[in-house]
Amino acid sequence: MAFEELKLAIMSGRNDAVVAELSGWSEAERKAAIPFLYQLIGQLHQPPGIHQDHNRNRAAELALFGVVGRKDINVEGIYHSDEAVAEILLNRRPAWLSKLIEKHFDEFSAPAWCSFFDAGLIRWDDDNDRLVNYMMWHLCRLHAETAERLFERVPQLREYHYRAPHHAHVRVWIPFIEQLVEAGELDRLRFLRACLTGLDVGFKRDHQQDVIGLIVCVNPTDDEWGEVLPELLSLLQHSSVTVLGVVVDRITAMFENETIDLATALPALAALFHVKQKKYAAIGLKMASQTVAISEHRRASVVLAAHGLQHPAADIQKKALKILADHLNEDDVEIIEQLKGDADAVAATLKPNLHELLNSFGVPAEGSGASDTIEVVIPSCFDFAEIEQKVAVLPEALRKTVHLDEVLSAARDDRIDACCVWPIMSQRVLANSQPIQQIQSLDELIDVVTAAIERLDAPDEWNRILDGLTRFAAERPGDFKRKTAALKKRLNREEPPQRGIMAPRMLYGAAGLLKAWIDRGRLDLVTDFPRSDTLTRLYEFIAECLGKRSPRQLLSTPTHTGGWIDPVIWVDRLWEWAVSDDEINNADFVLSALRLAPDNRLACLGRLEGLKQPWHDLAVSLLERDAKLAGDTEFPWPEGRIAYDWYPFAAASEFPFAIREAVPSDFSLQPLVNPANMYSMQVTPNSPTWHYPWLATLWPSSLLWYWQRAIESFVERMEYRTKSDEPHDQYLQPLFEPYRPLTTLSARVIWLATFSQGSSKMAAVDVWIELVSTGRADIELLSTTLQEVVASITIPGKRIMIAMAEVAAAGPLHAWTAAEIIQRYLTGLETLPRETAAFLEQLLEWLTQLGLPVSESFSTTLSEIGSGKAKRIAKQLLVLQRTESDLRSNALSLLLEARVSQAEASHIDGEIS
Amino acid sequence: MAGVLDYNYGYQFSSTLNTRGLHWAAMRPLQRSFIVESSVDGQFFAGKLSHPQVVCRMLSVLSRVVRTHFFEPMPPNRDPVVTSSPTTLRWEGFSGCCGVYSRIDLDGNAFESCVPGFGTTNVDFNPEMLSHLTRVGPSDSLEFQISVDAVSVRRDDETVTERKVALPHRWIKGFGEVQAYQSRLKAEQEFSARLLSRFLQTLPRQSSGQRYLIVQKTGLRQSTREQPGSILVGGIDRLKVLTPLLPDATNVRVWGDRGSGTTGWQIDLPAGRFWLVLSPELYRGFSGEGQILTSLADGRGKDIVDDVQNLITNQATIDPAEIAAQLGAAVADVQHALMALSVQGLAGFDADSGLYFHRELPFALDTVESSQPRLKGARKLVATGDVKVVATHDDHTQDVEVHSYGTLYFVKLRPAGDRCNCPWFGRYQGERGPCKHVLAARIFVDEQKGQD
Repeated sequence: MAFEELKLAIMSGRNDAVVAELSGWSEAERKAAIPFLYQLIGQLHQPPGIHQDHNRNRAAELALFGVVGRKDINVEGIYHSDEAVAEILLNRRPAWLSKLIEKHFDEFSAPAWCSFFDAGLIRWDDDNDRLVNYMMWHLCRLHAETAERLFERVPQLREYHYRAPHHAHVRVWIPFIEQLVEAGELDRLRFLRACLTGLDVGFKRDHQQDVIGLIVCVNPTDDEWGEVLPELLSLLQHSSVTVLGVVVDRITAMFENETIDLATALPALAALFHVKQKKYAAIGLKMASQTVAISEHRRASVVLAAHGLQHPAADIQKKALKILADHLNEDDVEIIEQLKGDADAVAATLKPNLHELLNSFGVPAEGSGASDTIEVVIPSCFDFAEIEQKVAVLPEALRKTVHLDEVLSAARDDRIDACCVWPIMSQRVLANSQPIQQIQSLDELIDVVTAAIERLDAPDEWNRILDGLTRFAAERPGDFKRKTAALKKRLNREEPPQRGIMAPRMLYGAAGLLKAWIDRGRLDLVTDFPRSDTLTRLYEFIAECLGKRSPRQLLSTPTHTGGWIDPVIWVDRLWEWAVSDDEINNADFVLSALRLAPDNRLACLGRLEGLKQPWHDLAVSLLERDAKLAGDTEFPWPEGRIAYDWYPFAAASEFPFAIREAVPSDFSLQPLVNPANMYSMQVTPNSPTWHYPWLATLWPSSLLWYWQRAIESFVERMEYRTKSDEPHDQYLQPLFEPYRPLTTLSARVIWLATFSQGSSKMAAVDVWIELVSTGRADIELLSTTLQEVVASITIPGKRIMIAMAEVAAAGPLHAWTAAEIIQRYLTGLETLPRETAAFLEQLLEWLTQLGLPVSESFSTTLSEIGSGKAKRIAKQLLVLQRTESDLRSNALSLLLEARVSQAEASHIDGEIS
Repeated sequence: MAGVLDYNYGYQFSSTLNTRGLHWAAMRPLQRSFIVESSVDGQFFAGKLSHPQVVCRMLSVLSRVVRTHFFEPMPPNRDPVVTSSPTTLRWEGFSGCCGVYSRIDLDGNAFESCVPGFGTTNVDFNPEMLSHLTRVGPSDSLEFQISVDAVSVRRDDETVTERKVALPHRWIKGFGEVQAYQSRLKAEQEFSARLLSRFLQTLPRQSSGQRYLIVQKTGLRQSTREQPGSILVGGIDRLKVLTPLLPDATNVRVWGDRGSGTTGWQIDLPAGRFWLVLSPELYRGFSGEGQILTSLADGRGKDIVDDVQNLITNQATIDPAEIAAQLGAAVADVQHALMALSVQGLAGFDADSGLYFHRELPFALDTVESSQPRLKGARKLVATGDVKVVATHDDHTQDVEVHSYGTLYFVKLRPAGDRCNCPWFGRYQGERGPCKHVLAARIFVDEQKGQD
């Protein structure tokens, strides 16, 4: 009996006996033995706690390994395998053996691996990194004898290390290379070249560092470096700072040792002006200045200096111009021609120097000459008188709302610093929002939900879905089950997809609500929703409608983007409810009240006559801004009374700013909901992109809590120095709405986003550009908040200026605004920051292009700067004079146009103007 | 182990290849005195470069693209494909992630003299070749000799030769997909190389999302918002690979496909053009896009594929309208036939000229189709009778039910765009081609129409 013999072999605890016993077995015999072996292993492990015979157990597991199919092979067993495992497999030779080896070959022990290799089951493949790396790691490092055997069988392995720097896992080669270097068996130059070209492989930083590690192993001599100079120079534009640093250090050392071939190196050094780091450009110019005096290298050095003008930094350009001014001569016709074309690339402050240089060779400079770092934006009207006429015909109340007369007066004085903060409720928001198309049919609802489970881009989509679910609650055509079968399967999965509306920690119980729709499932409020939340109660109400198949038109469905509800439609919906016998749901009413747009309100008041109480009085109080409910008004729900009292933010003290002091003045709509409830709607690192702007649709007229949440998120991100690109940029979305004025909190969010990295910073620059273009960038507010933010969080000055330079490039009004903010910011500081020179350098460029002097108060600050580079630039700033400038009049026209548009978009007391 | 397709070339070579070669019409008269001897068997191109250093930089950048996996440290590919025709020598390749396609077009200006014929091969660029390319100076003499089995680069007296290798399977799929995208590209913006160089300096190390590129006279900037004239670019930091080319570049032209977010970056250099085509997102490789699946599934133009193949063989440029006129077929059918040929790697597309070009990578259509899992799955669904039309509204509007792995999927075939309620379609909304259920429904309905 074969089983009995196998059992004897197992009980002997000898692997070789098991191998011998199994060697002649057919696949059918092996399959039949599986239950027997499982039973035996079970018996061997019984009773637990008693001393086990490990040899016997291991022999049993080896026997099991020898009989099971591929799917049941214990991979861990393979990992701890020895020759016995290989022998069993080689004796057995199942049809799937080669696949198994291919999948797990780097998990086999070296002896097993060699047996497979000897048996021809592992094919040598030049391109198989995994194979080669395994060989180097396991064999060369741990089993030198086996490696030697392989080198004999596969001679090309001896060549392979010359390709090692081009492979993904370089580290494994280091010990091997060290051995070769020590034994003097390495073609050092060939290997060094391979390393340098390998650095150009687009792997990650780890790879590059490992290749550098290989170079360190070789420790090249000066002569060897000289031999590989072309390869070294080809890395001068490498995007990795690590690689670039090593290369520039080496080249600098060769330059200082005078072992560099200047004829080869000088033309290639131009690449240094195309990398981000300024210090490398400075090194390039230093070399040019030191070689320009050597007659045979003069021309190459001058060409190199001319390339320096391509660098964006003004101080680099200045050094390049100095070399050119000293060494350019009339024979350098091609270089002079190139300089003509470069006039546009040179900083405004250096243009006169370049023009002077070109003129000295009798060549006029090309280019516009006026402004090359500020985009010229053409306003529709340049005529100041015409704009004044436009202003004059506007009602005084509107002019007052958006401070139009103030702006006009400032513009007459050649200033742009008028106030631009106004109450959002004075704006006609619907005119600047897009109407939202309701879902038209059940089919469309199924399509939209199906897509939204996987992907949701627009913040209004969830609101549309809630509206659709409630309106089509009763529709159950015959094919409903078939059409939603796939959807149901996905929702009922043990682990449903965590994307779209099902994103983690996003909307508690979105799945429950959808199940309630598809399958009349119950909404489990305990697990699906946090209690006492306005939204929870709304979802509960929707689930109830779905359960009863009772369709409703929600009052709270936004009619326009941004979460706004047109009061005209709201009153229609209110009447629809009033004429039915149904109770208005309190959560639905609260949410609808928060979303009411300021437009059309007074026009709707008359349509409330006859509406039953308490809805009539509540509606009137909402539509008449600033109206207060009488103390004895009965509230249909208990929260109503609480909602009337302003609820201070519980966590305000935890914020780095004095938020409690910053309750904005633009609260004209009394809070009807406890903000703490909304406060619980958090964004987390896992929150989907659409969640951020969706939160803003809950109470679009008052985003105080929203901005607080944004501040907290940004600060947390900065404190933890998070590098992942979380979609915090989405917090800024409401600021793109042209009617939304800046507030203290939103200004703080803008600065925090400006100091961030990745998409947040990019979105911040977009917001800046939009704010300035629409006349909403309040210079005083923004400079004050900058001081507050910088006082709370350490921000490098360079980062501020990089972002502001991007803003300033968008147009003359943007540049002027940036210049004003920076001047005020620096003036307001008790001590100037360490990087003052970086601020001043940029400011000098902007003011030069705009033809503006520094402000009076700022000139006092500048005159107090005692030393250093900042003092030098301060001197240049102090001598700036106001000059005629098209850019400036262009900026003023743009500002006035934007403010007139804001006035036209405002309304008086809820009437359409 | 990387999947490869083993194949044998069966190129048809011009009879001029074994004699002293032809001159290009575009060749400048002064340079005609130099003629490269064609001495190697199977050689289909030999030429001496007029801008050796620039071309070497282009090849180094192309090589960098094919050795780079843009979002994971993965073993690289190193296999540029080189195709010669009497007007252009093209080098092509995909990045390791297959999300970046790059191509070098070298025309008459690139060569002092040359013997161009028709042919295609693909080789590794090993360290020796890369090192060789970096050592080429502006005044060096550089020659290419390209044959069926090898590419040799001779600098003065030093020659480095690379042998033909097996082509990665993903590349074959990628060639088909990328030409589908390229044929939809429109020229969007044009600006100086200096602007791009400065912009690349501002890019972060890695940015995975999609951004809008705004081109202003003063510079380029990224934005999170669409604006008039802006271009949607995914994984924009991939452009950094172009940096070494920019000092020599004269002009940059950006091409875009607004529907998908694919962009083409055309860098004009004294020696020719360098193309970098970026997939819509960092994590999307061209090989998995599925843009050609509908074409493959509907079989349109299938009956003229062989005729079209005969007509395009050894043609420097391919104009679908011209072929349609020759065959008396509809232009759309010819385009579908070209699509089918592009799946086999036989046709590429040059957005600049708006014409296809021929490339000789002989694979059987059935082999290639079997590598399209969605199409394979769709055919299986049709074969097993899991597809049923439940409503026909008109000739082009049907509702179809597809049973797959125990789930009933509902497919709407509509002229404005097909829809399915499966997760794949939900996530991509057709951006990455149709799902297998839509394909199955299309195949089933077409078959039914055929039977009627």
